[in-house]
Amino acid sequence: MSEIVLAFAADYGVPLLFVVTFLSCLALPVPSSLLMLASGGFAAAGDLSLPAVMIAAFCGAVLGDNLGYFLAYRMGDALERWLATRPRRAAMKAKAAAYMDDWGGISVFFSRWLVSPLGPYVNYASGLARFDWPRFALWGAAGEAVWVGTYVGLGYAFADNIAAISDLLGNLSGFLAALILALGLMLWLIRASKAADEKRRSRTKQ
Amino acid sequence: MWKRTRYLWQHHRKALLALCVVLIATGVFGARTVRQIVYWSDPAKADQPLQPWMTPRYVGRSYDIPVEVVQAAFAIDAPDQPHRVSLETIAREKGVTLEEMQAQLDAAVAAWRSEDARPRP
Repeated sequence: MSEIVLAFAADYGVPLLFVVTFLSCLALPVPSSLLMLASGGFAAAGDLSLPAVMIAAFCGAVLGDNLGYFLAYRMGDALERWLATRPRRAAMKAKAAAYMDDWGGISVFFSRWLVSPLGPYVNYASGLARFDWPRFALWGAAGEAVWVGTYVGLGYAFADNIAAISDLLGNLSGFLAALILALGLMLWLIRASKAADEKRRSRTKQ
Repeated sequence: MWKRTRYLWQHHRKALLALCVVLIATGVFGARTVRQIVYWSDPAKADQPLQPWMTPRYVGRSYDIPVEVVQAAFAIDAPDQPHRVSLETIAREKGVTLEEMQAQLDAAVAAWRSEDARPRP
């Protein structure tokens, strides 16, 4: 897949980058990081304009994020009815909404660039959870600016070896995403087992 | 600890299994990151092998040689070429393979570097 997309990079340059970052924000498997690095490399070599590359990647990503959010928001109507049918589901939904209210902005921001493999799913989750749209859009745009700036900037700076920087970043972002997921799951499991302990203790007291 | 793990296994088995998978993934990605840092920190790997997506200008940038040297190596008439063209297109038009182009380039780079007196890392 990445070979095919990269093969078009010289011919379609900036428009291709726009389309690829757009699709990648909808969780489609396109090599957006690699293409941003390569486009940054082309900019350093004088084959593309650096501002055009930055703007195209940024606009594609922001449009993709918001489309994902609104698609999920629409689906949220059906989900809402389904969630409301059972008290346990309704409680789960209330918890998710409370989480998003406290941590939504930060989660959206960091899932754009630091743990970017999780980004598209955070878009869908934000839409489903009815996270406030202006906050989603602002934190999202700020995060995408960092994402695009980092990848295009690294491609520009390390233009003489895109392969090295691409391999490295691919594994590093995979590592960070897996680590954050692991920590989240651990925290949740520890809480669940603690809650069970307390329940048992209060039962023996009675 | 044991009691809690048993409780989680009985009540949240899927989450516990998911944690194991994610921990394995963390280890694999971490190990690969370290391996690549070690691999690429060797300066001998700075000249990137030619790839179909590269452009002559980009090749010049990667090998730290003027684009004219690259164009001469591939026998491209600079004014006839569009602004950006991939090596894949050049290879198709000239009827050569990428390996042949790599050989042409290596010869040209060696010749140019032996003439060029600039100090190299």
